[in-house]
Amino acid sequence: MQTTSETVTLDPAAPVLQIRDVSKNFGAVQALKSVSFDITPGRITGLVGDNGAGKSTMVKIISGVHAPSSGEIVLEGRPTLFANPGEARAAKIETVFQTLELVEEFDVAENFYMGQELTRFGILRANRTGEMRAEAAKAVSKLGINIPGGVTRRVRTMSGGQRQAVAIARAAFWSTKVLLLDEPTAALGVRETAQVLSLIETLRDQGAAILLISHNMKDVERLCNDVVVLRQGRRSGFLTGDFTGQDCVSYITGAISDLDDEEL
Amino acid sequence: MDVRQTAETKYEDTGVVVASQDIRESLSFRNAGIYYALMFIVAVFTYWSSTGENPIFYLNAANVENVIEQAATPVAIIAIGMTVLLISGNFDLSVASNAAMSAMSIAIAVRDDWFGFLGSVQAEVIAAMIFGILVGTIGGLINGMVHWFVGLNSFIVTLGSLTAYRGLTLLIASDASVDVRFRDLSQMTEEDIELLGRETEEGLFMGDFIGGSLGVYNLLLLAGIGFLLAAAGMYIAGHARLPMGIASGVGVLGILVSFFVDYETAISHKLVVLVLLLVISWAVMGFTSYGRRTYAVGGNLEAAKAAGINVALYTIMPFVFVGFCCGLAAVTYIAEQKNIEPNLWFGRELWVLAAAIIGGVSLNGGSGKVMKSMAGALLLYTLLNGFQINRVPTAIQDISIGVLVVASAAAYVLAERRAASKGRI
Ligand SMILES: Nc1ncnc2c1ncn2[C@@H]1O[C@H](COP(=O)(O)OP(=O)(O)OP(=O)(O)O)[C@@H](O)[C@H]1O
Ligand SMILES: [Mg+2]
Repeated sequence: MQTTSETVTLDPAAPVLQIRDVSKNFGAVQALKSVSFDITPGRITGLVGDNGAGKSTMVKIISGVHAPSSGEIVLEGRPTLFANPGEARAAKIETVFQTLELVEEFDVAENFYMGQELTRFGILRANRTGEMRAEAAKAVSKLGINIPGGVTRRVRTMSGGQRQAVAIARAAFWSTKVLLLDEPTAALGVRETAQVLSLIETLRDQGAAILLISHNMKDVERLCNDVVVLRQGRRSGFLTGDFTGQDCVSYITGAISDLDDEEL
Repeated sequence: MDVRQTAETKYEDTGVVVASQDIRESLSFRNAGIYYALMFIVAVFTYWSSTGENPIFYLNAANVENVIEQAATPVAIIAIGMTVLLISGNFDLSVASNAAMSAMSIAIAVRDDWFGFLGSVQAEVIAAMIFGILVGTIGGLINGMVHWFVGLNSFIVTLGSLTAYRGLTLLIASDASVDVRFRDLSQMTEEDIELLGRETEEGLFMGDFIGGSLGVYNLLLLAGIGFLLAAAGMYIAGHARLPMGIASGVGVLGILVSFFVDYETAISHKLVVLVLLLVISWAVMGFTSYGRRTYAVGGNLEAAKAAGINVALYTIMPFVFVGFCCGLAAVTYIAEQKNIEPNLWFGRELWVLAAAIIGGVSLNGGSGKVMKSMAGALLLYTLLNGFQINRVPTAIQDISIGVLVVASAAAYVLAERRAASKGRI
């Protein structure tokens, strides 16, 4: 069982994931064109860009939902190709998808443990329901996420923001290495957003490597150590150190670009 | 830390509330309505049957067994598989054709002595049974594979196999009914007659071996012990108290009742098969990760995939399981038959679906319970039986059942809506 209390012992300077020249075509649509960047333990990397820039596509490639058309993903120095999301999860890469990917008929605990149930009696795989509920409840209260009704509340009865909180808690619950967050605060209220942001910082301090997608430049400015800007599927900018949200906006709109053939 | 403490106390509070709500929820009309409906209808028929010109006691043992046996083959047995498939988000219209194809395969294998090389009649019987179950299972596998790999909607795939499997059945039967007979009386040897324990006028039939019955005493004792073991398993797994209590209660009751049952009283193999299938499916769907994952795949395929569940496996296996149930229905049916008609169970897939719908299975996937579908099948056949005993015209029977299917589906939808508006789900 992995919980967030475990810390990762890794050289903090070395990237845990390297995205190298990743391209993705959906038929005639080229969603990503030769994009490269690193994700490093203890750092938050921002991934920004307009709608349709290819951010979610990148997340889905890293998490094993899509296979890249070309390019590779290097996990701790070894080129890796995740054939399915299960393999990415086994490598301790957790994702909060933009679409959340919760089962509405399940309660919070069941969603937490979906695909990684605690069982006993070997191949009979009898659920350890009580234990799963208790662990999920512990994690939820430790993360300071407020889910009224507790972990036996069904997701179907929850608001959009509450669902988002459940999805984030689930990823934080399992991940110790890499956390991919696709617009994790999009549906959250002011208080919940602040909570999630501070949760992201806590996870970073525990040594997780985090990729954060957001349209909120204030949050990006405050949280991210590096920012990768995507524009029409290409990496048009990279910001690190001292940068402002305004800098990001300039890259996103194309006012500034690292690409030499960018038509302005 | 202050905040954390309040959070934890809060959870414990809600934990207690949830436990007591669990019981109320499970007994609520929305959750247990089908059982109440079944009890109500049985009560109505008991009253009705006792008031006519020649009153009978509706709930007599023979009639109860009669209803359950009528329901079992093929509708209840296949409805269990269908429920699992519906939970996984798919649909099988071909079940009746598939079951008929399985039954016909057994009949032909027996008639044409395909397994004669095995030497003994017992081995032949077992081989023929396994063969029949295999045919059904493969029928299900084909449906599942075409659905998954071609990416066709399961409604369309099984609409095709509904016709195709029936056509195959007609083809192998050469359009005529087939006797399930190993040999005629004239061909029978001394050994055969000894094996049978008696002489029959028509010869040696499949059903002479797999028909028959089992002592109720043994059965109740076994079931009682099984339920107690299940309760112990649930205790170890830390399940909610209600199902645990019910299982241990049923277990103790079974063992106690078994001591009062006449040793001679027997129950048919068909019922044993049905109960075993039901209990195993109930346990797997309700208390194992296999079940959880089936619900997950039907509830949200993309989410299940993102969680790392092998969605291909959990989509195809329920089709295979329905096919297996079709084969099982064929085997249990053949035990009582001397011949099989090629249009056996024509249109019966609608009854199977009706049982599941009355039992509250959602056609959208992700929800449903095998126990409730079983209750749905019993409800259907209780109605039929009660109508027959009280001489209700067939037309009125059909209309009533049609109305029942739609009304029960409507009741589920309305109950859900009401609960949702009260924020109670
Ligand atoms: N499964 C798919 N099939 C075909 N085209 C796709 C698919 N997924 C994404 N695309 C296309 O790829 C491009 C990038 O989409 P993507 O979802 O990655 O954008 P995004 O940056 O996440 O946008 P947003 O900010 O709106 O979430 C879009 O043009 C989209 O239409
Ligand atoms: Mg997106």
